[in-house]
Amino acid sequence: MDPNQLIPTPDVLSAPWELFNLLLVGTFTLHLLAANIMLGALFVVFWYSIKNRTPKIPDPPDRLISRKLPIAIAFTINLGVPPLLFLQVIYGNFIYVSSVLMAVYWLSLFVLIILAYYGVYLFNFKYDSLARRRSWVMGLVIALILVVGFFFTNSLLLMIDPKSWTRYFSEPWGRIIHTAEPSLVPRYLHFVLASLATGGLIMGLIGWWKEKQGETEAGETFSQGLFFYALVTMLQFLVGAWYLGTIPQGALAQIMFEGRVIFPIFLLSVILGITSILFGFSRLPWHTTITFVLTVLFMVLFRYAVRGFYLQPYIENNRPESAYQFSPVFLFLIVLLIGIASVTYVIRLALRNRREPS
Amino acid sequence: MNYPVWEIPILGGGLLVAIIATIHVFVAHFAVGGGLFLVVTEMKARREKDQGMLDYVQGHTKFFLLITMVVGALTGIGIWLIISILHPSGTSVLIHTFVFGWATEWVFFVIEIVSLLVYYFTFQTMNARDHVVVGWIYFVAAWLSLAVIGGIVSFMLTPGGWIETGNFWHGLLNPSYLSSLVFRTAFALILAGVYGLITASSIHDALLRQRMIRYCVLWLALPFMVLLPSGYWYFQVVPEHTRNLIMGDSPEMGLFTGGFVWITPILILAGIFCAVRLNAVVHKILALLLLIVAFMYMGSFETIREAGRRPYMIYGHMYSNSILKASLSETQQKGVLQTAKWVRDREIISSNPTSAGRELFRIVCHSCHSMGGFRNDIFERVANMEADDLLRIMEDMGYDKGFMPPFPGNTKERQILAGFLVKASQNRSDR
Repeated sequence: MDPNQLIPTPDVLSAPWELFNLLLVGTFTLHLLAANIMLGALFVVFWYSIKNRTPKIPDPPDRLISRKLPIAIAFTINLGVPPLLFLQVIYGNFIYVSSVLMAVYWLSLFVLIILAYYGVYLFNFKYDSLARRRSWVMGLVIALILVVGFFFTNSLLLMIDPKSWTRYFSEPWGRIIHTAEPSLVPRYLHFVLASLATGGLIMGLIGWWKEKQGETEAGETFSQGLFFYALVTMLQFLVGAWYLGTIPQGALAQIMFEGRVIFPIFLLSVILGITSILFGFSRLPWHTTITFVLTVLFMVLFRYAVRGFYLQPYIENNRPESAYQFSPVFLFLIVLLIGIASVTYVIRLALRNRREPS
Repeated sequence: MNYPVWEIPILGGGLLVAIIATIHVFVAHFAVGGGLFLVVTEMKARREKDQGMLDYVQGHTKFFLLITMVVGALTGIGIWLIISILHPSGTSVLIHTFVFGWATEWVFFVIEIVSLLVYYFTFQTMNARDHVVVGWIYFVAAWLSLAVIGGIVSFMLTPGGWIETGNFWHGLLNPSYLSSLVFRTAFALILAGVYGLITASSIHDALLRQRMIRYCVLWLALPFMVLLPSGYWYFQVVPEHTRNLIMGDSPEMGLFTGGFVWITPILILAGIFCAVRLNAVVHKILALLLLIVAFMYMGSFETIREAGRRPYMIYGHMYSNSILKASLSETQQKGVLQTAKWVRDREIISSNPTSAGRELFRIVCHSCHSMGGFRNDIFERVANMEADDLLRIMEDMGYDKGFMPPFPGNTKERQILAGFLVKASQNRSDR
């Protein structure tokens, strides 16, 4: 069966495609960073909860960090909404199909996240009474989040491979995992390793901050964290090479060299990644952080180029019509400005009152 | 027609949507009304220098945070996930038409998260004035969030001028927008009282408990003065066809309409009964029962609203099986199997009546009917029927059976589907 016959007709776009694409890339980068920070922090808490099963100080690192975890989860979820929204606008006729094909897993996402969320609150609020079971709770939370990540990877791969959609006719029950796709595992590992590396970076930054506050023993955490970051990021290069190896040779050459910008973007992300490793080994926390964030941004851009390449032949025959309406865009921009002002104001109130408790 | 259909014979998609949606709206309305409850009660406690009441507000904030930020936020995403699986075409219309409405709502959601976290974590450290300001910022953002989402939800029942113009504003500010917003605001305040009773009934100090319970009862009872007239107003602005369905034309609706009418006085009277001085345990049980009753109340309302759209997903535009009203006659002429994208058996031949019948069922009926499932079971509906009976029903669909979409296929497809259903039903009863 010709997969082109299966591509649903897209709906009308109310603003230029490029605007939605810009919003998609921008918000997805933020979401990915938040997800890396959240999962990285979960790994750190898990590690400390195993290392210090019977802590001797009232506020050990796992307890301290776990207090911030609900905030990290809240923002990861919140920042996941806009990219999913804009993805549905420009690639809706692909992502809805993949959602249906893996409906059971897709629907389980919000239940898994609720369980993980409450697991974090449980760890936080019942820290003392959980005692040694704390690490089990955190381990379970991490397992749930890893499953969520795997389902998202599966969905995004199914959507760019309409040739695999014909499986629906023999399996219409929404339980399709795209095991035939060779990039499934390396793509997923790429995300997990990035989160592990972020965990190391978080540890490094905490150690650096504490050392600055005068806790000399924190210097070890600082060094270990950044070393771990650099080590995992080196591993990331192996997984990245594995991922590139799964893209058919001809296709890879086309992706890299057909347009003028893709290869420079890829090259920049590699250079930034290597630089961040060197900064990590050199105990330079902010240099490492900034190059890491930029690496993520350029990797996201490269991923979009790959997605665009895979979908190009199918999109060509299914271009959405457009009927622009700009007043809703202005409404959004005005509310966004008000939102930024409100959030800034509320955070300033919180910080002011932290300095001057009533 | 445009998308594949997720086959879930037993559970049926409608039931899943109903469960997730009812839980979500029950918490999401609390997130609005409860926000006002928190800040107004905090102001009252500070004005009256009542430390006991202030402690209660702090404890209630934790409860509020745990419920609204986790279950409320994630079941909202859950609805998005389930409708994109069960009604991808309809979801796509909602997303494409209101993309910047959703984006605007997301900004309010960000303000809600930040202000609620700050409100909770700084309860004891922030000065009173600033803390109250943060509480108000939360409530205003939460209500504005309701104001945007309410427009999109009411759009599905009364899309108004959007049908002709496709204009964002015509869709958002549709004929039932204002009445539904007032109605939902009142509902949100009632739920603030209902949830408030849960935490108030757990206060150890008997005097304070009694005072807070009476205070929550006021929150529960007074908004009915707005809810009932706005409900009547809402009822008046929906299409006549919907009013008729609610009043009994739909066989499924009676239970929910009756439920909604009967629960109204029960909720008010049981709430007022709570104000009587009672034993702490009795108060706790009563508060829990009221929560369940309020959940049924909300569930009845949402089911009436959802079912009132039938046979449409977007009233006057897209039928509940995702077939566009504008393309119905073309589909009836060419046939469903020729026009739908996700079909394997395009031609009906002697060897494939069962698989073609199953494909037709999936595309035409499965969005509302389960196969041997809990809700709207097709086997129950067609039990003891012959193919001719089913063909007569297909004739009536969209006319005498106005809650069902007109049959979108051609004559041959009617016969194939009728044959498939009769055979499948017989096979099932033989087992």
